Amino acid sequence: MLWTIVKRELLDHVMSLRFSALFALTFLLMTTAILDFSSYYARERREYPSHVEGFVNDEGKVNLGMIACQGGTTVRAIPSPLGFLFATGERELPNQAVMALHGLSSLERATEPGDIMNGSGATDWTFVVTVLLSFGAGLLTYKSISGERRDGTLTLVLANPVSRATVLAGKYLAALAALSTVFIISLLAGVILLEMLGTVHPGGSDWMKIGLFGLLSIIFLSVFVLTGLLCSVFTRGPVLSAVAFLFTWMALVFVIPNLGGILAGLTGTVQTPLQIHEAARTIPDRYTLTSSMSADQVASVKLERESAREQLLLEYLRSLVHQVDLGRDLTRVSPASLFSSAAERIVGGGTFRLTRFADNAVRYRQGFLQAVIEADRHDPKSEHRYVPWWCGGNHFSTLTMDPGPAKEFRDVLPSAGEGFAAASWDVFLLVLYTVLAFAVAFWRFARQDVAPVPGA
Amino acid sequence: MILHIVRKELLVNLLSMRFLAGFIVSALMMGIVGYVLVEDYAARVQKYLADVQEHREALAQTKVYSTIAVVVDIPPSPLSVFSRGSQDLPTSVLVSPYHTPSLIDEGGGTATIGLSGTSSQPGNPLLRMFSSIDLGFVISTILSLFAVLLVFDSFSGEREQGTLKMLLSSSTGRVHLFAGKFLGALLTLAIPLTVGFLEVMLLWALHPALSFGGSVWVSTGLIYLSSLMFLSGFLSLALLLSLYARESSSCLMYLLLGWVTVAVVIPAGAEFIADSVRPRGDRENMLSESANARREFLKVYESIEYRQIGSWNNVSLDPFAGESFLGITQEEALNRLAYNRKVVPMKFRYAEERYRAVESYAQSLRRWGRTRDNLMRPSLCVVYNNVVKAIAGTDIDSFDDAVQRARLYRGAMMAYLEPKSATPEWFTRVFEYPDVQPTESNQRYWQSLIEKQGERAVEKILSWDRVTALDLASMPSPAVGAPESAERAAHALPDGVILFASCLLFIALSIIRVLHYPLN
Repeated sequence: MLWTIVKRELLDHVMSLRFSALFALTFLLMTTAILDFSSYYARERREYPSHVEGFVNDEGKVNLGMIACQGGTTVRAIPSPLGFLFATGERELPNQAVMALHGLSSLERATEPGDIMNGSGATDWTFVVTVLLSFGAGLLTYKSISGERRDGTLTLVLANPVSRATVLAGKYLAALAALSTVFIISLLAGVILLEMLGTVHPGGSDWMKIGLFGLLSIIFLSVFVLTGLLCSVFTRGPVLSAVAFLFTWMALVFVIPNLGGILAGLTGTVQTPLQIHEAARTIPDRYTLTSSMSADQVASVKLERESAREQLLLEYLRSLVHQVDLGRDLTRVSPASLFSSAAERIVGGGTFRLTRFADNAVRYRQGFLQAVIEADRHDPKSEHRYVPWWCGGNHFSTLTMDPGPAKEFRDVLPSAGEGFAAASWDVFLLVLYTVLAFAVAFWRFARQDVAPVPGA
Repeated sequence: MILHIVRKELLVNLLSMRFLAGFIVSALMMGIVGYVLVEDYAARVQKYLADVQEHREALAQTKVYSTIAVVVDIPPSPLSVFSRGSQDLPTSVLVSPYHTPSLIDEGGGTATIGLSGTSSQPGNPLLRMFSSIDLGFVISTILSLFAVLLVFDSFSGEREQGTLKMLLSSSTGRVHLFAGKFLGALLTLAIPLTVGFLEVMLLWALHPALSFGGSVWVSTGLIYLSSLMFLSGFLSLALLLSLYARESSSCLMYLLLGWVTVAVVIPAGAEFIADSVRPRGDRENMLSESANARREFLKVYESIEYRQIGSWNNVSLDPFAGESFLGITQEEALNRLAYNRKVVPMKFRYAEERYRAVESYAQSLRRWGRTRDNLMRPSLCVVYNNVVKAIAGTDIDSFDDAVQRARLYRGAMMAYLEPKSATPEWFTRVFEYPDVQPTESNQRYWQSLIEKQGERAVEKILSWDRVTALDLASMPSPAVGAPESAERAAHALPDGVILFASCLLFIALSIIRVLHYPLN
């Protein structure tokens, strides 16, 4: 019986004008996002430096005598091939790390001349799902109960040997299936388009991420399908349920997620750049040098200072990320913010990616330092003492050598599994919302008077 | 009769649940956003004033003419509450003999997280993960949705209930009926809008650190008027659709689908289409042209041989910036002057050449931006946002104007500096022998030193810290302050006209439809 209802409802949806309109719009937006992303990605790839500049010379060798006083080496975050799924931050957040061999000095955004003209950011699939398809969920469901009640067909349906739960479940499944059809066809079209354009070559993990993103979207849409059903169950007629849905939608999609940044700024405090600068200036007071120290001790104190500076920077970064997370936590009531933070993690973008990139940069720097120290051991003329910002003299080797694989910076994107693990709490909440919304809708529908309300 | 209908509509609207809900949401949103942005503005004013002070002090510390660099700070706009504009726009423009400001100068990295304390933003750069919202956004999304919600069933609903026939059987004309409904809804909408504006003005008035001149209030008034115009445009569009729909609830949903298209889809596609219709200039080309100019300059620069004949104590030299010598001997100073007569004009020319290479790319970007903006103009929301941005002075054109003003100022500055480049004060102030072209102030300074420390004291001046600063009182200074509100309003005029015209068009179409509206 359930399947009969699902089939009928699904047919109803598919034949309707709103379905076609929704389908056309989704298709259009998702493919536009691909086209836009593909040209952006091609540009980014072209400009992505093929090798790290700074520590090594043109022949890929390191001058050990000079390495300790070389600052300003930059490594760049590799542009994400999945920016079309989740683009927030992809074009705004820091994407390069500036470092010396003994410590990271800053994270910044490599600006291109002309960035100034960029608009308000790219349209990504996350946006299409949160704004357009969630609205579509309401479009398909707002009158599924209230409309039938007004037309008097609800009494007819319930006159059959079918439970109310089945009716509700049938309507829910049909609307979700219709929406998923729209979404999945557009997704497949987008992916095929991506393959045809040939600028992006997603690897195995990327396909996995796209799949997970699709799954996540469907869970998210199911929450909004149920929101529509809830509005439909709780109101007298379709007009009221439409209005109710719109207010809910407006609050969940526009008002609450947009308040996140503001709330985070108001509640979480981070240090200002000047305060951090002050904190960095006091580091030498904590690691003091005395005249009685041996050269080895001086070198190790200086190294400690540098690593304290790096720690301070990483802590500062963590506090900034924490503030962003706080803003997210405060808006977790809205499934739209849940969805976008889960998408951020699954796709591996935004602050999740930034922290990962900072870790990668630190690991690269440490590996390089190890390789350099290892190379110095083989030089009998050196006193094997790496002193930050000290060049010349006989503390350290002055040879030129090839550091081997340590010189290559490998920016590893978070894998699909890690992303999903990080997003699991959000996914759990989304599922919880679905279950809760269904329970409330059923509870209300089970004791509803199904007779048409006059004048509704 | 119209007044009668307006009153009735207004009352019905005000007493409805949707008004209450919409009013609470918009008043809350506008209050919170207004509060945050007024605070943000106050913080940016603080930063601006500190920057101005710092740059003025730095300039006042200049010791020789060749190192003069003026940083023109762009004041934040108090109207950024209504439209924040791009957060990437630089807050200052550098003007120096070796640098001609252009729209797309590299102003250092944005969103920097570091320990040097030089970030351009006072707050958390990662908060850009959240979309930045302003009152313009609240009005163009939430209030426009509210407008749709108010009137979607005003005709179709009355027809469904059968009251429309009754209304029209009295002496009320159809046009009157439409006008009454329209005005009633507009007045209803004006309430949350006015409350929002009052909230902002109250925040301004109560903020201890802020005070504004009349032009801000005039501009606020203009923004208020254009918001009303935008909302009436949306209202009439919604009424028009309500006149065509068979059923009021489906009318609402179609309206909203239309709204999503207008507010979301059109802006999303525009950038991509603009890229294919009128591609941005070749960035690589610009870079290689500018690199070529640099190479050419360096080749000629290095080919001019400099033979040192005297001595100096402390020197800094940079082919792309100024130069300064301390404790230079007389013959060496004259030697340097002769050399500079050849080199300095070359440096000035190079700045112009680099500017030309960058500017041709900037031109292509401007053209691309205009195409993109035109493609977005079918969206009423975009037109409205353009108007607000232009009046608030937070759009890219306003920044471009500031850059152009800085460039004009550079002309005046160069007229002042060029004669100076033929004097020793271009690169030094302290000679080993103080009798070489002493300025009045230096003479006084040396005299005091000689009195205190004896004849040879002057030679010991090795540190720039002890050299008196230049007297730059006669140097032209850049125009300070934001452009007048009249100038900004002129920027906003084209979009304002579009807004007004589309508003009239929707109203006219609705009236035509009302006259032919079937009653059954």
